[in-house]
Amino acid sequence: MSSVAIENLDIRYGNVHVVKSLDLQIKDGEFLVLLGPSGCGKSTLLNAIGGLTDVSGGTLHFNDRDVTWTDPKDRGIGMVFQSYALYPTMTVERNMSFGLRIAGVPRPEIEKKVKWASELLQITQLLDRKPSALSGGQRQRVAIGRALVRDADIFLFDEPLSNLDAKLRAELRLEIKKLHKALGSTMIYVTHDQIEALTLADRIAVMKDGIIQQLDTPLNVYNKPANEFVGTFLGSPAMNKIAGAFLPKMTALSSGPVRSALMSTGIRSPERSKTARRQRLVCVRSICTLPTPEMPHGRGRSLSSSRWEAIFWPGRISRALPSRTG
Amino acid sequence: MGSDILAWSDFEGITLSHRLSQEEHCETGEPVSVTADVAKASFFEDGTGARL
Repeated sequence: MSSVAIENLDIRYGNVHVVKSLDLQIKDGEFLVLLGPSGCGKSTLLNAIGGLTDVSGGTLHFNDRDVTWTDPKDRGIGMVFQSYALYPTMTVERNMSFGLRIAGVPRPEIEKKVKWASELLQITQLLDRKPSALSGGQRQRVAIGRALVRDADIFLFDEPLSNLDAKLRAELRLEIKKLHKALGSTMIYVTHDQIEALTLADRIAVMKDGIIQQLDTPLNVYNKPANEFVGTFLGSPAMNKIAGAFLPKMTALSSGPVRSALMSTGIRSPERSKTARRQRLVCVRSICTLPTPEMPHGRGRSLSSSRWEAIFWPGRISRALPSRTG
Repeated sequence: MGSDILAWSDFEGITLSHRLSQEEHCETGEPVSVTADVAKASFFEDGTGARL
């Protein structure tokens, strides 16, 4: 196992500044997810950790070892890619043992490790098959097995489930979570899929434009987004956004009933007194319907209870479609 | 695990999204009253987007 310390990391491709002065500490045995939209720099960062991309500045440490310029093969990492990257002419067993054979590991030890990994991933019956005879999920298990046999301190996953259908994704997600629990290894996982991030991670680093916007637990990232980008990136449907002026009480409000009621909640901002009348954006994760459409039309009003400071107004369902949660 | 309904309502030009349970009936155009759990509301600085 190993901790990872990234300090002031810069990565540039020509004039494009992909990762910008990034600091990140990953704990020993942690499952950290790098989450963000396409082009945010998450895969580039992962490749830099794996030694597949040169950095333009800053340092990378595994435990106390400076690995900024260490060859990938000497970093003690195992990588799993979206495209599996299996050798099509080799059997599963040969694919899994390839790195060990190249490294000159004795045959009995290779056999022992392949047996261990294949049993862990439940692919023992596939060892004699070639990749073309495997499903997508089985191929990805083999790719994970190939990483496992290397005795890596750190596992890097680059969108490993993106090529799989929804059912397989859910199954392998669970397998990866179990694997992390069983091995206790440090795992760094790149995805743009918020469900994967929220279900797998100990902590999530939400990235945008090469900068970490928030580094926190899944619950905090979801419930207490550090900024508007994080709040609106996570969640389906997206957070509801309502513009309004921040005012401490219901009195002297002129911005409309929605804003009035939301602003009367007692939620306080430290700089409220200084900025009381500046424009604010209110984002609400959940808006629920109530069974009593008996409010006066054209106006809303607020209702207080022990748990809720709620707002009612007559609206109209404009679109409706079935969805599925899981 | 189970199905639910995503719905959008229109209030004074603001489109709001809702997640409804499968027991709740809703049809396009139907008047509806809604409530927001403001304990889960987030406040952001307009422009910078920073959390307040």
